[in-house]
Amino acid sequence: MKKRQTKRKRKFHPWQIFLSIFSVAVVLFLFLPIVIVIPMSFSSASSLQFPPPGFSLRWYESFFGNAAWMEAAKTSFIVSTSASIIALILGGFASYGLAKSDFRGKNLILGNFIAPMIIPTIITGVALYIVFAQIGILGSLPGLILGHTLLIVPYIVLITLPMFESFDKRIELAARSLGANWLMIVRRIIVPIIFPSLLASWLFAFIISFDELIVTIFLAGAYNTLPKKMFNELVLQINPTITAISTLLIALTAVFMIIVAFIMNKIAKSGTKINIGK
Amino acid sequence: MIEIKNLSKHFGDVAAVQNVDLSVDEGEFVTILGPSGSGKTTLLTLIAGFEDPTSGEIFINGKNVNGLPTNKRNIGLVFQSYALFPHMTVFENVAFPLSVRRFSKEKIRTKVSEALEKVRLEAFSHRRIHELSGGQQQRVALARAFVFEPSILLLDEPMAALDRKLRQELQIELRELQRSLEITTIAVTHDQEEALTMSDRILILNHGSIEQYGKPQELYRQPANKFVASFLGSGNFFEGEMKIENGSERFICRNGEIIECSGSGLANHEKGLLMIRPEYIQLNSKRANAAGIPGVIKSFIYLGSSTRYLVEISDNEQVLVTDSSYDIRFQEGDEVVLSWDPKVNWFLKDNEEDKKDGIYENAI
Repeated sequence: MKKRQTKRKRKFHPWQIFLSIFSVAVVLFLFLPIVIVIPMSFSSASSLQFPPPGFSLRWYESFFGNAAWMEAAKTSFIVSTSASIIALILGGFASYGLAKSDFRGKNLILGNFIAPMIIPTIITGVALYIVFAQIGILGSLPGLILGHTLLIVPYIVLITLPMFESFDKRIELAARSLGANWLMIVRRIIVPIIFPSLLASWLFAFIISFDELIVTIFLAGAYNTLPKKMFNELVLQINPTITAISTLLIALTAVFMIIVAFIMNKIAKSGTKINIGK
Repeated sequence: MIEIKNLSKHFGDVAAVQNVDLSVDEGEFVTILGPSGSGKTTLLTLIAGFEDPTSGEIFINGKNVNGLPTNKRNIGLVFQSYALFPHMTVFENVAFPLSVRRFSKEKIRTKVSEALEKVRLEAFSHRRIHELSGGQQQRVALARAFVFEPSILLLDEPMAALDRKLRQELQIELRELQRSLEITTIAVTHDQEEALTMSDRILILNHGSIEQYGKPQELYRQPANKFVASFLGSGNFFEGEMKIENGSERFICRNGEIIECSGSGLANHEKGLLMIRPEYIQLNSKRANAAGIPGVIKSFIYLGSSTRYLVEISDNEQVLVTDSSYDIRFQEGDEVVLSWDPKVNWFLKDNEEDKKDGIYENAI
């Protein structure tokens, strides 16, 4: 009897077998082109070849040893760091306000904050190009940061809004009754409690900004960010240095996303703990 | 000391609190008791300053606090859900009101440990909130609410999340603590037992208005109306009419029963209700030839500490009797005689409002 049960457990329905094969195929389809870049970046060949004929770090050397690439990397870090911090502050307050209030047209306001994510980026790019040209910040670093901020605010709002909405309002009321003013409540109660979700949304926004190409092409003028320089290089010639940069970007993104996943997992777990008292 | 004058709060067309007058003495423990939707939480919210009243005034220690924000009212508040800060330890939670008042580190440490000692949580000061049981969390919330010596302590259903046994223990503990701190306290609850256990005075609220305000024994023995009588314990109500002849009062019940009484407060020919609590009635077997109102046992429920009998005294008229003898003295169908000490008679005036609330008819 027992044997029979275990046997039955192991038997898969044909549909399940198909589903597993299909899922594996999808994952391979998505990841293979990305993963293939990694061995190619360690190739000793002067052109893009797969499989690589030998191992070398020459493309990493050519990246780190090149002033133009380093300049692009620096610009990327400046733009993404500033844009993600500004977006975090603006988007965070937007979420807080939206979560705390209830008024007609609230969804319209929310839609307004989400819009840059839905509108095709090229349209945003063109629109910003025209407006920035008129007000004279086209091709400037602040203009580029502003453009990126606009693009990543939706991610901040979407990640932090549920956190603010599930925030127990009585905790805020309790702090108020204990004598804390609004600033103290924000600084000592709200921000520390939702810090993990703020950090996750900031990392996410940083990566989105770091990868951004289309709006950057429109707004950056003489400035080069990493994606923009990679794109320009590819147009002219196929340089294997790009595989080295891609590998570094994949690593950076992967590390950030692992941190985000880890934090989100922690939030989900601690959420149940906090609610024990109810 | 709290003084509330003619306080009202409207939400749109709905009056959550209507013309409430209330005065709480220094060091007194007052409970606001009422069914859900009676406006008791709104009243607490107004005192705390989370909402502004539509009209009326609130004075705390003689100072009008209308328009004063919550954080300037110097109020200690314990929420039903405790609302402890989940990212802080027990110590940090209790220290919070002191640190926002910019007390020195040294003073904070002594005050917090004193407060934790009073709620018997000294050993838990470095624990995280989620490592505590419900009862312990409740005591942290309490310590946090009184550590900064607030003018008043407000408790919103402080025991609602705890199980019965723990609740009874904590009620007594809280009462003793409140007495030793001599802090003026207003609690809100829907639990009548909790109100009776803890309070110096109880305010009964219904539909946003005060039904009665007084000492627990006054409210229980001499309720102002049928709502109060039914909300605070259960009661038997006999409809009837008062007959006064040569100064002797006789209450003629609808079923013809005549009850001799005095000092009923009803005028001659005035209609009214006679209230008798179930535990004040004695049951005797009819065979014992005892005097009183005859009836037949319809059903009974054994409750452990007592047995509840439903006795039919005439068609459609049933009386609830609580008997706390060891034995289950009667069975269904037994003929019995009901009697009680005349001093427990309490007469209510016939009140149209009560009839509208009709849901409070006694039922076993």
